[in-house]
Amino acid sequence: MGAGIGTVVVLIVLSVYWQLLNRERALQQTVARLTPLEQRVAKARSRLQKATSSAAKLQQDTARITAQLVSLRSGSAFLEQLRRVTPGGVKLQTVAVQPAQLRISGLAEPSSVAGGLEQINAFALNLESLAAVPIDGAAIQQAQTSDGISTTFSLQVQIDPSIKPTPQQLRYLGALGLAARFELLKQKGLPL
Amino acid sequence: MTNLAAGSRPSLLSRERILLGAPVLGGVLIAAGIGWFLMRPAQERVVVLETRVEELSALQRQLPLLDRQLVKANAKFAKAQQQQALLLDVIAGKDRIQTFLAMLDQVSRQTGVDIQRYEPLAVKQAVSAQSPAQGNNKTKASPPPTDPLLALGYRQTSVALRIEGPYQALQRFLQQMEALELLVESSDLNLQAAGNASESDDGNPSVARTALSIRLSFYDRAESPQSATPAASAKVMS
Repeated sequence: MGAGIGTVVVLIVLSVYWQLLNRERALQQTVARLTPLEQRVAKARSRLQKATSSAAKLQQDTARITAQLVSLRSGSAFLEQLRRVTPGGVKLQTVAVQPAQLRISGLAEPSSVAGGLEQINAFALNLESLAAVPIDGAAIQQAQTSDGISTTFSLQVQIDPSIKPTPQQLRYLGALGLAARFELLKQKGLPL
Repeated sequence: MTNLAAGSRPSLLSRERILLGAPVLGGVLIAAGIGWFLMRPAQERVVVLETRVEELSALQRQLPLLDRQLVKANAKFAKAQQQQALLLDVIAGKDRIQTFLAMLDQVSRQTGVDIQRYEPLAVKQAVSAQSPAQGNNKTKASPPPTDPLLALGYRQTSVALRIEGPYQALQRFLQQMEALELLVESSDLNLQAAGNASESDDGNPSVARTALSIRLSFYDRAESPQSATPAASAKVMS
């Protein structure tokens, strides 16, 4: 009787152990089946990270190049602006364009409607009306009448380098090449 | 003496009890041994495997999402590549540097200005782009160029130019330079009155001439050191 009970206890324990072994085997098979998946996920994550960082770097470079392009100043547009703001009686002798300022010297001759100084004043006011020139940005450095008729002058004009013309403004000023470039890039979705 | 006296009380370790209890105890001990030495490690292994399966199942559930993210990221990368290619195409030339001087001459003739001075300036170029083999040389590591185009292997060529002509002709010259396929940046612009209006030979008043000093810069792909440079072209001009 006692041997029977003891045997039953041992058999029960062995049966549970056998079930555990079966469970272990089944889990090992599942792990073996899913392990390639882990490699696939790792590979996909690596590719995702690479693609994301590459795209971010490309976008960063593109943004910098675009900013560089947008910061370009159109020489032809500047000449057109200068032509438009210069009064008829003012003749420019020298114009030097620097990144943040303009230095202008010239000669103003009196006309039937305005004297030399009046024309210089009008010229300074016209320059201040430009978008890139801050208020009170045009300062007359010197004005001198030597022959009693014409007045020589020198002007210093501050420029705000952060003010950029739009493609429409460039087109209006005849800088068609730069305007067309900006329009094309804008059309293709580049951040301008 | 009475028959109530103790004498025949049964012992706890009777023969029957020992015959019953000893195999049971033996069975329990064997079962405990199996449990401790075999089942416990097996149970621990099963727990570890279950955790592992749970992790792998979670990864399996993530995979479709990851695949979708990868498709999106690849599309984003392709779009970024296209945008940069377009931008570079709009800005920089490729093998067009050889014809730059010819273009200048052509534009100057079309617009009626005279080129009085043409001076090639230093060429800016990323060191790594010039000689990739030197990239591993740690002792001579140069800082990365701040100009992104230089970093992408382009070189910036600049020329100082002095041209003379009527104001409107100078303006047309700049307009045409800006409209070239190769993006030409003008900087350091200086204007100077070159002479008063006077009468020409046919009696008509001539237009006042203006001299324009300017620096023109442009980018082109740095390919080989043997490719022609503006300096070489300048010799032809003189």
